[in-house]
Amino acid sequence: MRSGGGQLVRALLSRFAFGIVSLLFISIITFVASDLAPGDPATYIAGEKASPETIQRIRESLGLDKPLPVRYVNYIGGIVKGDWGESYSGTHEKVSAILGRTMPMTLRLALLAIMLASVVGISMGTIAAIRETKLLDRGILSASTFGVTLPNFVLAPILTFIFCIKFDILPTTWETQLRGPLWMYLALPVTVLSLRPMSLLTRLTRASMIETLRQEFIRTATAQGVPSFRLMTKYALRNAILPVVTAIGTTFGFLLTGSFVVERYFSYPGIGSTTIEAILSNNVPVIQACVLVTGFIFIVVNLIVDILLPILDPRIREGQV
Amino acid sequence: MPVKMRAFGLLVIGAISIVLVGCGSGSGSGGGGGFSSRGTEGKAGVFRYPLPTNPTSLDPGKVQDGDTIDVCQQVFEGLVKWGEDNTVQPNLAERWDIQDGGKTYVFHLKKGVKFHNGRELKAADVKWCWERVGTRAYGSSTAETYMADIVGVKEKLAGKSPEITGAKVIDDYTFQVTIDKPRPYFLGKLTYACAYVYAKEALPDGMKDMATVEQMVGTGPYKFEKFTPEEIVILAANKDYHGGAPALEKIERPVIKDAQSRLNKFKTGEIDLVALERADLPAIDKDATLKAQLKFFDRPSMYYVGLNTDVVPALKDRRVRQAIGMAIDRDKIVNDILGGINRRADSILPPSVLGFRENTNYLKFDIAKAKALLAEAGFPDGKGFPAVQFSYRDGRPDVELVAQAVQQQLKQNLGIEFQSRKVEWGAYLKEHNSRKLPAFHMRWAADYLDAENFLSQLLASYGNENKVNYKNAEFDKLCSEADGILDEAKRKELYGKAEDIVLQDAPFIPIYFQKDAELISARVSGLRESAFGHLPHTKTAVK
Repeated sequence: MRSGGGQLVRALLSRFAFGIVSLLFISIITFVASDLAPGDPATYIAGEKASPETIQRIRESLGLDKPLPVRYVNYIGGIVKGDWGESYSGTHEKVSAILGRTMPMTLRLALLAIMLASVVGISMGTIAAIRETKLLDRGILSASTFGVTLPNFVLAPILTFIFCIKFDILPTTWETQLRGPLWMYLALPVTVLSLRPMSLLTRLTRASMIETLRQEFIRTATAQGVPSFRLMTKYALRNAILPVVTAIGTTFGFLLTGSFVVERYFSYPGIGSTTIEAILSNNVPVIQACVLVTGFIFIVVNLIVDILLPILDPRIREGQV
Repeated sequence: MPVKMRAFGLLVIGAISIVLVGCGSGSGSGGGGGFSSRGTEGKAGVFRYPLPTNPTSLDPGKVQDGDTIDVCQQVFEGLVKWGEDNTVQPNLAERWDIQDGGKTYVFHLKKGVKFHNGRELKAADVKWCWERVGTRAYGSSTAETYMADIVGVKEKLAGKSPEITGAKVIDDYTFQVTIDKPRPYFLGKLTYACAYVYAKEALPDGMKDMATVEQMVGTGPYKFEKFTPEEIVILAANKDYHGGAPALEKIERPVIKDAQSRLNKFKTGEIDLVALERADLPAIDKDATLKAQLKFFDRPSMYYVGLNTDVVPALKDRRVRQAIGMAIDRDKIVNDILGGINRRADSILPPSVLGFRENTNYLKFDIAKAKALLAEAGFPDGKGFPAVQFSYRDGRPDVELVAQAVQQQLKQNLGIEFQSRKVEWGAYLKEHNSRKLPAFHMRWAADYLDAENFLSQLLASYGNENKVNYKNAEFDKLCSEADGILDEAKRKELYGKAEDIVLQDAPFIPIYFQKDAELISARVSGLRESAFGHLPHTKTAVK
């Protein structure tokens, strides 16, 4: 047991080191890619009629006239010191300030969505598995198929029409000065964002549970008279949940970085909507930071899943799997 | 094992508590009606309309896009401004004398104009702001376009002069500007944001962009109250405004990036004005309530097809260019392809620009005549006509639609091949500036409302923006004479003659003039318009 723990720590440390290397790699790729991409930021900022002289002046004022390696070293040096640079647009806000205000917003949305998706998804999946091939199972399965295929940009307008325009009980967009309790502003974005992961988790839990329920030990437990609720939760679900936990982890990563459609539609000032605007306006420092943070989130989420799995399954912890 | 379960449970509880932090905030003042009417009681006097993106810059020295300029012009002002009749009107300067045959302008500043911090504006403030914008290190993208006529600006921008020699403070209320040669349209350029005046004491570092509302101190009818990036800009009325206190209390500009969400907010009455996308219009047309609030505005922007007169041999022939002009069905493009919002362009000069004429000798759509001209030029039914590269910029859906329509019409009507080619904006600009693109579809939007900004700059052989290598001695002569005289009637006459020449020479095929569509709530009154958009909200009121 102890040596197993040591192995785990070593494994995690190496994962961590690998993560740092990945981030460095990501930073080089984004840096070089944004340099190679046609049309530099100065051209974009200079506007439709700018003369070559104006573009050159802007390039100088942004420090883009320095060679690429120099800019890269300065950039990484800055990040190490906590300086992510400044946005090219707006009031030239510090990138760290942009991350600081947008990340918690997105984190809140993604956490609520993944929690809603997990609770509903695992419950529905379990119920469907218990009632396999019955009408209830068919119903849940169809609903989840629908949920997987319905895109956010279709669902959001439908819900907005019903709840904001027709019945006028929820706000259409996020507002700086809230005119109602916070949950009202989060209800629609969270629901829309959680639908797809909820459906995926339902299907995954169902499949995993069905497989588990067919196993020997469940039949034995049933034969020994273990009460059925206890059987389902303590024995079956406990065993069926491993792939689901991994899926929750990766899905959460995608929610954190893939919520831009929802954020944009509901004017929710999170990192997704900021990233899209940065890409559209060639705002390189913000794009770079967003890509790095995205990479970081994926690495951390995977790390957390790696830590959680052995806690849930002793076989992994003891190196048997 | 239970220990592990508890650890997992704690993690979940931790996550929930993170999420719920701050959930207690929110006032929740229930209004009489639905959610949308919450908090609007007593909000008459607040004008709300959205910004489609985060403000691109709140510094007058750098701002460029119309939406953000609309924010800045409420707060900052220049010596002169556009009026509702699209002519230049006094603002910080109450009058001016034009001397030296049109090369020197002596501005007499209005006395008692106060910045939002209470200090009186003096001529030295104008000088300081202009010097700032002219500094190379500051990196203004607009100073060259709008201010380079002033003696010394080019030198200062190039880093060769410490001062703009042509801008002089005579005394506290007199400011003298010398320009390189007589330019009757010069005052139009001075209306632009880069020539606005602000309080220097509010800026800790003049070479840095304005970053906080405390640094944005102007003289305009509104002052900055709050700016939350990517969320909202709030302006409060300046009760001491030198032009009289505005009727509104506040202007709120929430950032709403999604077009459909903007429209939804208008439908629920939470915003009072919204600019429309073309795709929204058919639905609005079917809704009587919305249709009653729909308004169209002419903009001084011309979309055209440029035919380079000096790259492809076939296009050097005037008859070929005329044939192309006659073979493009612009009515079809404007009405069927672009949904009938815009206005067919029968001239180079758009409405509202000095020199615009309703009736010109433009090339009318006439396939038979076009074919005859093409045959005369040696390409009967398009036979032997070389394929021509036809470029347009990426990222503008309407530009792409029109370019494809032109390609298809020329193929169908004349049997000639225009190979359309979409180019990323930065790369496009480079090629465009090289004057080597054989044919292209492009837009020209007015910098100021004068024929010189279109005819002389785009088509005279001495024009900076002549990317089609068009050269006609008579046209040049007419334009250069009109560019330098002050007699407005004479100028219009000369530009009219010049425009007739160029329309027949056809280096440019004007396709349409841009129109914008907006929904404006019946609650709003007193909006003042110019060709460039809504003027500052000095008279606007919201019931």
